[in-house]
Amino acid sequence: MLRFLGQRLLLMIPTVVVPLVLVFLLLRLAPGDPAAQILGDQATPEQVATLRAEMGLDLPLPVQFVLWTKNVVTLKLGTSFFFKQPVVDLLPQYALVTLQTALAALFLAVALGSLLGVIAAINRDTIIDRGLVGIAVLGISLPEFWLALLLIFLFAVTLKWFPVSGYIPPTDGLLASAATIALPALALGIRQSALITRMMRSSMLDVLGEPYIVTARAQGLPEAVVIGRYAVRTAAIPVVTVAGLSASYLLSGAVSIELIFSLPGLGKLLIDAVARRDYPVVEGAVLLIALTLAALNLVIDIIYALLDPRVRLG
Amino acid sequence: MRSIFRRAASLLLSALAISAVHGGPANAADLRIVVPQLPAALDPTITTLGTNWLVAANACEGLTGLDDNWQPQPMLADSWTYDDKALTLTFKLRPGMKFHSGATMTSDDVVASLRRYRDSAGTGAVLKNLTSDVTADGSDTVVLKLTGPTGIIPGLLTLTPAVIMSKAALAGKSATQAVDTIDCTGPYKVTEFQADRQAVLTRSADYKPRAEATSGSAGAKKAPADRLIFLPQAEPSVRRDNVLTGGADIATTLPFDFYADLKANAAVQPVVINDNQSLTAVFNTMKGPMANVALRRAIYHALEMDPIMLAAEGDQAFYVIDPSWVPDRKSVWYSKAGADGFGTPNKDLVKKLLAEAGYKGEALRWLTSKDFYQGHYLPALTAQQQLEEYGIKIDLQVMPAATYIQTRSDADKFDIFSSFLPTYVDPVVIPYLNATYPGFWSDPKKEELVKKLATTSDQAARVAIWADIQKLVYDQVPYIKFGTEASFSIARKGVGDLTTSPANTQVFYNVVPVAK
Amino acid sequence: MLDAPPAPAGPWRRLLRNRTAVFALVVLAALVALALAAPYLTNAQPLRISPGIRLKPPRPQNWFGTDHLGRDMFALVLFGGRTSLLVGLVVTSIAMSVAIVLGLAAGFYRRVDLVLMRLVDGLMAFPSIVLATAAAGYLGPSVTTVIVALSIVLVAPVLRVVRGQILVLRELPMIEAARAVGVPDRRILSRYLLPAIMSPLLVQASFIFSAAVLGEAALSFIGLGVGARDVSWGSALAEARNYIQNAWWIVVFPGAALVLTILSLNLLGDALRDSLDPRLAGR
Repeated sequence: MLRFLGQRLLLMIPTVVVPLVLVFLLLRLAPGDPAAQILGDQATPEQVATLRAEMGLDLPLPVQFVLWTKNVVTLKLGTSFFFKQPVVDLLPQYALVTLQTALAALFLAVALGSLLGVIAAINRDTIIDRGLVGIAVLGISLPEFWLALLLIFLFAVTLKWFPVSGYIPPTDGLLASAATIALPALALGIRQSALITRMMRSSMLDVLGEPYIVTARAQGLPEAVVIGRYAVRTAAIPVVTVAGLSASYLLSGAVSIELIFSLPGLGKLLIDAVARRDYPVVEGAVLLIALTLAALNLVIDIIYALLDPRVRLG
Repeated sequence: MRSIFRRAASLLLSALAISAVHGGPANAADLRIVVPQLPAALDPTITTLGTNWLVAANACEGLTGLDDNWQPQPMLADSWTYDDKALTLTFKLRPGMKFHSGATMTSDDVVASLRRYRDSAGTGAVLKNLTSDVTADGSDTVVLKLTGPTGIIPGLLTLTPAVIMSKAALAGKSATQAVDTIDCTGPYKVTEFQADRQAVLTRSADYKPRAEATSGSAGAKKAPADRLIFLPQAEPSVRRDNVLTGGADIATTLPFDFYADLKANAAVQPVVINDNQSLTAVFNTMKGPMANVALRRAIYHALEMDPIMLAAEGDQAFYVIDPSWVPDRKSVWYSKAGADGFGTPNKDLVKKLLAEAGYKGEALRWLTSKDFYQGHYLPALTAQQQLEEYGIKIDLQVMPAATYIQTRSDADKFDIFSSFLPTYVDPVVIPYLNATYPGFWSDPKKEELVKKLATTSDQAARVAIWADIQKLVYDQVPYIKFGTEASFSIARKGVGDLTTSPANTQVFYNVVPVAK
Repeated sequence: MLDAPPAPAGPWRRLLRNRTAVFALVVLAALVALALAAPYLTNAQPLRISPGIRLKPPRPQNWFGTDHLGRDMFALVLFGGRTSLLVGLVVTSIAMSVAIVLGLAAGFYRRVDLVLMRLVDGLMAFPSIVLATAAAGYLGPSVTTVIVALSIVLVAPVLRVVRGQILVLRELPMIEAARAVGVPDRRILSRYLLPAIMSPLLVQASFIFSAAVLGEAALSFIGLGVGARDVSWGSALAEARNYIQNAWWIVVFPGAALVLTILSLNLLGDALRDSLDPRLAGR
């Protein structure tokens, strides 16, 4: 087991390093300068150059890279050019917002998707099944940002059930916080839930054809027990994997959702930081995202390995 | 029975949701203002982008304050006098003013602030040209040594970058380094700031308002709200919706497409400030094809201003096709000099000028950004379409604000850029007249006229000089104006004493919040 | 011989019998036709600003109404379709080609696999948004930028599928025998393995196309996609955000076109998968 873990951890390293190097190169090669934006549009070139020097931006690229690598390895993530705060202090609050939204969306997706998937599988080839499959395909084809716009128009502007935008942290009121997360989670989660519906349905259909299910039925076990205790449990295994993969999909969807709903999350922070050429924040955010995704994949690998005896742990 | 229970539950849930929306963390007498963006740094002296002065405009004060009639009035200075030769300007400071940190203001703080302002980019350079030194004379007097007689300095010092901060806060910070906290004397102090979330200003208990009547940023500052909370929101429809759903009290910078619906809505009051600013385009007169005056004239005469302004504003009620470089019609500087036939294209003249310029169809790089607001980008888009009909090709480069600001300071990288120009306290302060401002307009006649404008004292003579400058602008066309636009904000019904003068659009400390 | 049961229907026959597949194919064909014929179907130029007819609801002169700059929405939707389908086609071609080459190599040669998959894992952990933003900053937002960014991002999933297939196929007795006999690797790859993975690749192509269309729309919506010079459903929707209440037609028409395109591609992909994979027949 330890060897398995060790191997996996070692493999995690390039997963983290590659994105970081790419980010470093891409940002510094692209035009646009943080010093110029901070100073404003009438600063003289000399003043911009002075600020650039103060920010350490005028060193040759290889030198910058060496310094940067040293800092990353020691987790000295620097100070944001824009916020003037250490990146390590800044990221957690944004990450928590994204986490809150993503978890809510994931919960919605898994709960709704599994339920609908099981229902569809049990009622296979009936109108219920066909209807659900159709809805699922439609759900996968809906762009999150368009759905978000429609949801805002219906629930926030017309019905006034939820705020149009903005974020209230849970510490300022659980219910208020939930209200600000509700529509974003819905917009993000519907697509994922459609994917999980299909996955669960297909997985259930596989399991329902297995001999041991036939046996259980033949032994006279009530259908509810057959489905609930045996079928769903086995069918859930591949869905767990999909749920894990959903994390990366949710993150890319989160960017446009956070923009639309003005949620101060990691996605919005990343986009704004890239536009401002706030290098420390972009690098810190990419590091955090890469580490999170790598850790998530590691956990999924372990779960999968534990569940499926065919996977060798040695 | 069950259905009643379910219905009650859903009603309760939605009621809770709504109350949660309206409740929020705002206190009873707060004023929540939604704006397009907050500045990255609150220090107004290091940036020349006017929208970045918003927080400082409410938390800080200068030696003088601008009233709603564009006149400088006493603020941190009780009075000022010139000596006989008009080469020294002495300010007598207001006694007993405290900074937000608790320290008492003395002339040392004023000297430190003004010296730093002199070294800063933008209007600070104007002060540098007009003065040779700033010194203290006793703890309540500050002396400026002038390089020549000039009357514009009290007006210049009303500008937000010239506010007075404590010497301790400024310690070690050059004119390009932002101070860590803006330690000022204003009626509100900054208690919380996250550039992409909010800026919270809380009423300062130590503030002593002046005795004179309130007028813009002059006179008594009432500070009726407990806190001013500025919230950034880039999308205008969301700003509007925040006010409509009660999540905010004021939303600024809205497009006029929303006007009709909002006017009919009893829960909000629209605030329209006419003649707010000019929408402009500035040419690179130093390098590249636009250095050729015939080409610049050709473009000026090719444009039909009305469709350009209509596309940018949406409704003819809210803009004026007006050639005056000073947009406020009530201003003494307002003038139509030099602009006969403004706004109507002259096809034959354009063809003639293009031939004269030897224009061969090369693409002209026009910089603009969508990050500011519609009036920045839409005129460029419309102008591009109009110019195409004459065979003038525009390479419209839309870029994020950061890239736009940097690119336009490099004379090799652009030919034209979009901009805007409000009325200034004095036209000599207009940034375009400075040869170091992007566009780099240097012209011996212009330099001479600007120098005369800065150093003449007689108002009537100055107005005449300004008319000459404007005539020169319309002859040399280093930049063009499309028209004057109004600004549009909304406030919830019950918000009182809103600003209606273009002189003080960033001032919120006199606004009365909704009574609860 | 006469008693032998009829041969099972071939994959293409099965495809055409699937009603949703036919529907999807018809819709896609119609979309392509409309996109190609766009310049002839409307006189209006999609980007032409006409401030005099701003925000007009659907009417005889403008079937889908006009937006806040007076631009004809019908033309916008048609020409936007051209952009989306073009981006989809090019991205799919590039991503598939690269993925096939690299996937064959990774599946076949263990050492290539070790190195390559680590890089691919690294790439997949990379937020595509950042890549797109940096590309937009470096190349300027344009159709080219979007194609580059999306191609890079979409190679990875196809690569994994190809590699996975090759890893399995490589162990087949037929392949082992060919290697033992001394058939050169290149021949094995091109003559035996490549044709064997064509079916799953075709399915992947449909989904990649759909992902590319969605990706381009999302990027343009954020402002990092095609520039102001090109028409896109995504950028039309971005501007439409502010007008949901005043002008529903700006939001509904481009959005519906986008959903229709993506839906058809997804339906087609499903249908292809169902009909081309014999194990799934009868599901």
